[in-house]
Amino acid sequence: MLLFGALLAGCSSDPATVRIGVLADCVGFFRNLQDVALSGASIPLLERGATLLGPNPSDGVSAATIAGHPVELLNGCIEGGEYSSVIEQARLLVEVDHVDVVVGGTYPGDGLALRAVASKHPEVTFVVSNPGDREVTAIDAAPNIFRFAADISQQVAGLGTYAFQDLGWRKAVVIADNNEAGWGGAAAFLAEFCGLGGTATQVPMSPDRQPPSVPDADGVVVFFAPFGQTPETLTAFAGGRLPLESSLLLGPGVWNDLNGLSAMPQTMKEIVTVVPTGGTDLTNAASQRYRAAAAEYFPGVTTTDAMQPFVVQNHDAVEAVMTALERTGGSVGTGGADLRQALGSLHVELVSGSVRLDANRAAVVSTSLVRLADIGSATVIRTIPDVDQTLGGTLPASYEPSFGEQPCVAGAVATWAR
Amino acid sequence: MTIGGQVKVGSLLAGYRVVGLAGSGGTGEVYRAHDERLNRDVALKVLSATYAVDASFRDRLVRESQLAASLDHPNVVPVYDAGEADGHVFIAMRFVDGTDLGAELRKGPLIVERAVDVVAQIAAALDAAHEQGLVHRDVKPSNVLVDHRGHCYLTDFGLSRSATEPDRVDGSLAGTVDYVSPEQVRGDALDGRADLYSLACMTFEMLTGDVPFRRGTEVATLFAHLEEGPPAAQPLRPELPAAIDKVLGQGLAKDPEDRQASCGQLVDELRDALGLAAPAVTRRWRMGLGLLVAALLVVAVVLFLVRPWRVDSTAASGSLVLIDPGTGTVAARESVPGYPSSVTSAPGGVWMGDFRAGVLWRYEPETGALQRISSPGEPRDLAVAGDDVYVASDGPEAFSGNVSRHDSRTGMREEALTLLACAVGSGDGVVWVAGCPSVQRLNTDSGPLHLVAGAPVPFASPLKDSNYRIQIRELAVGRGSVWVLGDAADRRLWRLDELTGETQATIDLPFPPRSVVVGDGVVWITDSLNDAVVPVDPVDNQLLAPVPVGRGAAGVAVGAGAVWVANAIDGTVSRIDPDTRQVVSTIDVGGIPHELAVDQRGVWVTTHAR
Repeated sequence: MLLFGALLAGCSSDPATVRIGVLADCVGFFRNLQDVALSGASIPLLERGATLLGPNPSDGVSAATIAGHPVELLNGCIEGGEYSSVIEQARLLVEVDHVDVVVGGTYPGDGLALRAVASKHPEVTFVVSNPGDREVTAIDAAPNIFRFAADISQQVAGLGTYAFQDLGWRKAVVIADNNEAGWGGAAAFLAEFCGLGGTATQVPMSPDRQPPSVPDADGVVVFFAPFGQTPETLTAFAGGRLPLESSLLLGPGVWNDLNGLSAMPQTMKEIVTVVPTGGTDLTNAASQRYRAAAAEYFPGVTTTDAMQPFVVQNHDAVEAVMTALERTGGSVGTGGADLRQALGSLHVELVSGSVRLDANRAAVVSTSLVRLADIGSATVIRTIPDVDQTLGGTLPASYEPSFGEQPCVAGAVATWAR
Repeated sequence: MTIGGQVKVGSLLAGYRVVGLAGSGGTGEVYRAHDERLNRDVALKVLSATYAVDASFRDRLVRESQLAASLDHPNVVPVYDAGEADGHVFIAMRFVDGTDLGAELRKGPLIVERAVDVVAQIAAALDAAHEQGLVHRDVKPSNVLVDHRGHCYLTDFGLSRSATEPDRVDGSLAGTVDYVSPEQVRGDALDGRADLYSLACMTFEMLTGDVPFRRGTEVATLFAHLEEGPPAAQPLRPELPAAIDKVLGQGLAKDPEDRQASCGQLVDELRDALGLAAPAVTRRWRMGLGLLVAALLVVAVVLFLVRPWRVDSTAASGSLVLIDPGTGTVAARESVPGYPSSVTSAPGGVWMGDFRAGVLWRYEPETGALQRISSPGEPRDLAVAGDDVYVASDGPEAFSGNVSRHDSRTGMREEALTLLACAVGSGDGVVWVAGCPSVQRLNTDSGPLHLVAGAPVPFASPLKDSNYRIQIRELAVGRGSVWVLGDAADRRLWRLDELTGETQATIDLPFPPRSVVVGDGVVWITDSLNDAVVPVDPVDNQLLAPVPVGRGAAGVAVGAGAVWVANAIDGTVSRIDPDTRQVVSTIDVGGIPHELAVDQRGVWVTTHAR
């Protein structure tokens, strides 16, 4: 465990001190990215008076101050996706380090493990920083669990409507990874698309990740992890349909090679994808301030790295906590109640956009439809505001995306499609 | 009878019955002999009479024995004994039944994968020597022994010295001219990078069939090492990628500062250049059903595919703690670098796995020796069957796993099998390994490692976010069954027939399970959230009343008349009376205790710092 604050373990028992524990993968698949992940979490403190304790983000930062209250950042080392590790490290932060807030999660399901710990420690506030499973806040939400990032399905908002209304698709093929992200993406697209009257064929992504045989349809939408995509593979996923910009849509993150865009054929650049608003709007004030701070404090972290979703999400989670603390005068209140009250009522401008929380303390966000060539710019085709976990009323609150066919039902039209 | 050597076949030398001459060199002979006291074959290296009277050569042989003995490494030939007897100066060491690399290379270049495998093994031995401040100074193919399984041993440490000792004390050049480093030629101070240069020469030869600087005379060869640029390997073997020449060129750099930082780095770069490993990814992942999901929404995968991992296995200090069951107190504590987690007790000592650093450790309680053992991945779990230790690991490539079998006494890896493996368990003479979603039974004979039986452990139906299992958490064997534990998302225990894998029962668990063990007629499962160990009655597969333990219940073991639970948050071990099912004592072991193993000495617990 690394102590981020300017204290030695056990030396600070000042009740006015606020402690934020950040869980980052330092053991598992994402451990290479620990420093990058922690850089995002550190910036909100650095902007409030903290100083770096070493050249690397993992060296930690001194305490920041809010209304005279020291705010310290501590790090818990997890193996993302290894839920026993998440449970153990979250408990160590809470029960040994006595943090007031736990921020983190690397793998989508980590939020489920945090929810279990949150139920055991209602006096501690948990902010699930990564998007993850919608169930974490949609079903049996613990009152001390907060999420300022969209869930998997929310991130897809607007894509089904665009396919139906703008591209004129009536019959779609959905190719999705056979896992949580694939299910969540497919469920969201189908809820919108089918709600408007479209029909769809669902094709699971093959284990060898090769383009499958695509049945007849007006177009193809894909939801899978960005491993090794090339213009050629994307074209293959479209099953030979042309023009590409009207026959292929991409889920969030499918194409993430911004450097590879320039070499793309123009028709590829016109393909539409969906991104969190903050991911495109580099001109918003929060984004500009964040990028300037990242460059100042962590010159070793490139702008591209600083804008990676998981870095931004860590930043936004801690920024939300710091903002809430400013509203409470730096105190978490008895049993953390004041902090949770302030968090729940926040409407805050974050790097990922303007966020408020719903009754389940889950983010209500906006998403943007952009062309591939416009990823990273402020040029958007359409912004979908106020996307909550019901996806504009098309997904029942209790719905859990699952293995196999997602429902394709006509009738429920998203608010933004009306 | 003598057979070209100075020792008669059939004669007894220092308790070793000489069987035959195995080889000879400039300074003596190597005999195959039989240790009549320990009933094992040995290689007996005997200094020739001419040199035996020369104090410098005697010293050299003594040095070799001491240095090799100090390097307790699976790729260094273990030295058993050394001394003088009947006028002969000798070293007794493990007899390696095979050949040397020089003999293999005389047949031509090696296939690429084999060449890298050999380089990797020798690099591991050299890095271990360098970590101790030793420089071998004579790395060449004839000093690499290869047994019939392809396992390599670096031998002949007779020229080795610490890096601070001068090389040319008598004006002679130590080393063989085809592989000698420029700084050795110059007589400069040496460090491990001189051996790296020699290893690069050897690598060049393994890939191309010829040494990099073949010249008509030794002087010309030495001059080439000093002054001529490294030749390109790719034109000599066109199927090699051009990138190989950059890697070899760096290893063959004239200035040690320009070479790779370690022999291991040379291997990593070779693999990268040859496309034999995922570039710079050292963290593996037991991938279940489409586990690539995480990257989609969390990170840009490109980042970690191109970014080297900063390994710092010494950043935290772990421990192996021995609890005396008689007193219920800590009887011993051995420091172990890094983050030891999994542990098991085997005939050859206590074995530990450090997933984070990707190494195995073997601790000999009798001598206190701690042996670092190279691992073919990041070890997650260990099990023992007979004299062997089975290791379930992530890796060695990204998105892969393997199970390996090691000689528990020497650490030597006998076999490895590529399959997704996150847990391994043994008992009743069987070994099972679990990936996700399947479990497989392995053979336990001495033949090549293979699967004997397999069984699926199906996902929940309907499968949802909330029950999407990432991995099998752990498994245990006992009561005629294999008990397979799901993870915190798929909270179930599967009971399978221990021979066939047929599902006997599926038991829902109302808590996030952490570890499982079978003992004292009960299956014990730790609950990592609610601080308890939960017994399962194997008669009716019903959960019994949870037994409260310390905070953060992690590993569990049964033995010495008790059930033992490691409490990760409290830094303690709970001792439970299996009859009353109550905690009878709590032992403070410090740190974060993880796993336990029980043998006749007591209860072994791995702990590490946060």
